[in-house]
Amino acid sequence: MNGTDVLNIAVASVFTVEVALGLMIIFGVMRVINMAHGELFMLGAYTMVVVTSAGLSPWVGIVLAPLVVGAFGMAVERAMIRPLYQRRDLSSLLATFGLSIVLQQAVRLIFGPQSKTVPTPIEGSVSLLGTTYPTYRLVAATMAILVIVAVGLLLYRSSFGIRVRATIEGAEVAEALGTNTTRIASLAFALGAALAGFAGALMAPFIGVVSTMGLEQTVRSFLVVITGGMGSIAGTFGGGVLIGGGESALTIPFSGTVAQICVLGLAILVMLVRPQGLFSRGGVRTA
Amino acid sequence: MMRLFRSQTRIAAAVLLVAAALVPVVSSDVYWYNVIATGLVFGVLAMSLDLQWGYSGIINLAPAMSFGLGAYSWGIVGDRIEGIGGTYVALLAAAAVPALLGAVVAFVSFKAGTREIYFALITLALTLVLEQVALAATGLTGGSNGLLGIAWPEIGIPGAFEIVFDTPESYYYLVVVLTAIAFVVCTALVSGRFGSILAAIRESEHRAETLGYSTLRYRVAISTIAAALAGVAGMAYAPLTGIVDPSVFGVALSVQVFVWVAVGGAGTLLGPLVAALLITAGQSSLTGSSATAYLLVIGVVFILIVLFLPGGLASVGERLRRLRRGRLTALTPAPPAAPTPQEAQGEGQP
Amino acid sequence: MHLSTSTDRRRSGRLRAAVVTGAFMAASLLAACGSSDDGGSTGGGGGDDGGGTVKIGVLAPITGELAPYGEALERGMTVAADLINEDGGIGGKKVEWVLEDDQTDPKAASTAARKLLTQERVDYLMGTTSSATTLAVIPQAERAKVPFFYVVEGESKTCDSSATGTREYVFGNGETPEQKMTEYVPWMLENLGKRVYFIGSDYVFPHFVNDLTSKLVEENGGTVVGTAYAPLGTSDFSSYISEIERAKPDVIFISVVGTDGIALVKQLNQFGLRDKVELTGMPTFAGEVLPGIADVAQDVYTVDRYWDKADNPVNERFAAAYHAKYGEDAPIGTIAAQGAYGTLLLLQAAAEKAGTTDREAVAKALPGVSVESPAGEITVNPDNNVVTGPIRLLQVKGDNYDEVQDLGQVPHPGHSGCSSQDA
Repeated sequence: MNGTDVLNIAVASVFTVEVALGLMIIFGVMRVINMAHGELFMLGAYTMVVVTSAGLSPWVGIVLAPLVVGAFGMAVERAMIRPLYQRRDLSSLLATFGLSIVLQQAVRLIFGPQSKTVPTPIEGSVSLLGTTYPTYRLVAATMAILVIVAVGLLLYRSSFGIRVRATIEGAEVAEALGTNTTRIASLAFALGAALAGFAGALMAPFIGVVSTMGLEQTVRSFLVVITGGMGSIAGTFGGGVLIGGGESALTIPFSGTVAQICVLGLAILVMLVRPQGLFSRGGVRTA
Repeated sequence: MMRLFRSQTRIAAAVLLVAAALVPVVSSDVYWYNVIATGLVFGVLAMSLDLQWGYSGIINLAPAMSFGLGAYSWGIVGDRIEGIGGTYVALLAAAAVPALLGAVVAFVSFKAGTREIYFALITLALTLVLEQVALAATGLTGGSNGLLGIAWPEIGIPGAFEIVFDTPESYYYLVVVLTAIAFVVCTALVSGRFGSILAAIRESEHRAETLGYSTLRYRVAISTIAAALAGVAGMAYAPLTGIVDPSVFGVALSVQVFVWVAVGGAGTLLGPLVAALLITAGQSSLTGSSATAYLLVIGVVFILIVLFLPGGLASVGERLRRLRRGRLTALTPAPPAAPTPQEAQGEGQP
Repeated sequence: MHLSTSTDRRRSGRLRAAVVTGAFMAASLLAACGSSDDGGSTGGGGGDDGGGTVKIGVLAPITGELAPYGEALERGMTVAADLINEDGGIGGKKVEWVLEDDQTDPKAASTAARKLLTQERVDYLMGTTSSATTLAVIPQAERAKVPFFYVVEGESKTCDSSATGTREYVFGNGETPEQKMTEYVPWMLENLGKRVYFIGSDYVFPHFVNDLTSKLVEENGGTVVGTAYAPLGTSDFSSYISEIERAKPDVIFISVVGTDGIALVKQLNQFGLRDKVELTGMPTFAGEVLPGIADVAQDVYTVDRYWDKADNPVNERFAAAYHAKYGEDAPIGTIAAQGAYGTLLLLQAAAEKAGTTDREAVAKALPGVSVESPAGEITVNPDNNVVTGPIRLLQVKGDNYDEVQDLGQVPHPGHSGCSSQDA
């Protein structure tokens, strides 16, 4: 393993955690299985495409994307998720499954099926760990870490965060203690969406932006949540490193496909042996 | 209880299949045999999803997975073993391979407690993986070029008789017969005791468990059967296009299956069959309109149905009737205070 | 909680059934009445001479991942058909052509071919732009006995299922990797370096190219230091790049296609590899996609049959007409110039040789026919029906190429590397 590998694994882990965190917040608060989470990531990436083709700096896109996608998330929650909230989870799973296809095809119709490139905000590379590594990747990963830390602080130190975590623990109790769970749900969805969109925007300059890019993110995020623990925010961190970093590490000896299979196998193993997830306490959380 | 299949529905199904059988008499346009046969095969696929989603409340996000495995089974076996033997072996493989996979996935997912999300997730992830495997295993699957020169099936008993279905007409009739058999099998499955227990599990898993039924066992059983059925449908599909390539595992096909079931009405069997047929036939005559726009539209239709019309188009009739009788409240999509499982299986508002 | 009673179900079941059956009957009646051709069998057997036009069916991806190539083919045909008709058409008859979208999907290609053959009753078929879709069309063309010119570069597909004979109705007007690489590899080893790393997209064509080229590298005294394949849709090549670094090659031979290829080259720049190694490959740097990749691929060498500044009167006329219609900046690749115009020129010459536009006669006249095309002289090789033509060494400069060397006329050797399949 050389320096490039180490940095690749680190970058992959960071971004996996960020996207999965968004999914976790949505699931934890609303018990909503958001099958369109990857498409929210994709929308963030396409925001960059739109911004840069209009001639603006990519940084504008990076700032704009979480706002745009967050707002979109709020709209989706109100229009599509809230009416289904009372029903069993299956409906929201199906509705978001439909949404993911709609978003993919809409983007494909507007932008075409070929993938797009986004200019890199910072050119050049640094010498690190005995290798040459693109500067921007490191900067983007650092920004992602900062955002993850910020969200962590928000969830564990602010009153909003307390209310969110209370709702995750049990909505009825939170409601009884005076939390407006509807509002919390709406904000949580927006936050989750914004996280995904932000990751998409950050990553856009170094990965191809294409309408089908979201599926991989959705699957990976869910594998993280399953492995780390469905109700556990801390578990998301551990799971993210395991799944995201693990997949990247496995591409060193094996091919990309084999790495994907291994990671899926790991998640299945966790499902069988420790269904509550590797990093959470307690028994199985029911829907 | 679930006495869904009164003679009216059986008659309707019979009429449908007779009409299908008469198509070659009315028209000699080979192109349409192909289209309708494709629609019927998709109809069988839709029924297989209905068994899982409509009747058992299990969400399999990738019906295309079993379908694709069946198609590849036929392509791979049919190429290596000729004639009657080839057809029987391929049939076995097309049913058994997806069935085995379906059983394992169901077992793993549902053993971990009631987590539909696990099942949905694994099926989605697996279908991505299978697509990659199909692309990579060039020797077996032809890689991205896929398998070509798909053979026509032959049945019979060596020495006694032999029928080769190598003309568009004969193959068409084979598909009609296959659809009829599939429908009868599914109907029998859900009308009897087995179906009743499935419904009980779907409506309240807890209650079913306390009554002594192993929900795990029933769920695995229905998933296995549904997978086998989808696999056989996939095998029937392969000669219609003459190619099997990795795109058969794609999410695009799976979404369409959901739309067929949702539009037709989850939990009715006949509804999904007809919806698949009509939508496929209709889509083929929309020449020049892009596949993208089509998928976009049906995606939107699907969302709308999930939100507002869980019973599918077929339940429109019932709603109109209620409207006429003045029971307007039943039409609003606002969910009742206690979540009713009917919503999840698409039986319409109580 | 209220469970619908069996009475409710019975009633709604009956209504449901009736609605559904009625709809089906209506649909099938419509279908039966609406089908345009009566007794439309697949193809019309031995072509007759009747009709005042020659009808050509063109299969191209208008939608799907290869849409840029589909557009190139469509544009090429538009210009080419006009030019041919100006010159009197094929066998004195005007050329008429119909385009069907193959959606970059083999199943759709098969259906589209069937439509062109049974409902449009075309005399000739042309297209597509990928191996998978081409292979899907071949059985249809054979069954209908309609000559089919495939126009995409790729492994040879004109052999029959025994892989030793030539199909009667299939002609290959796209360069094969053998034609391109046999002359190029020695030059590459001499001028770029002897240690070669191969990276390609993970599907049949790049595997084929890499296998072939690897063998040629070893035969010519070079070393293959590594091979890797990235699934289609890979956009992050960081893990592949670390592997390349470990292997320390002199040359990276790239057969990663489309926008994946653009991402790879961009990232090779970003990871500082361009300073250390030379890049080359195909079809990553082909004319059709050059505008998208030129920025990051300056000075890269590649091999192709055609480029739009080829210096001959046929190309001057073709390029002028193309630019007049689509703008001075419109890139012209091999598919438009050779695939479209080259094919029509060959058909024209064959009809002249046969003295008739009868399909069977033209098909028999094609092997051995030679014409001047925009790339230079091309000939249908009678050994294998694969077109022999010029191969050029090009270098990316600015947003176009410089021609570095003309590697001459290269025939495809027999049936080597042929994708055979059952009809």
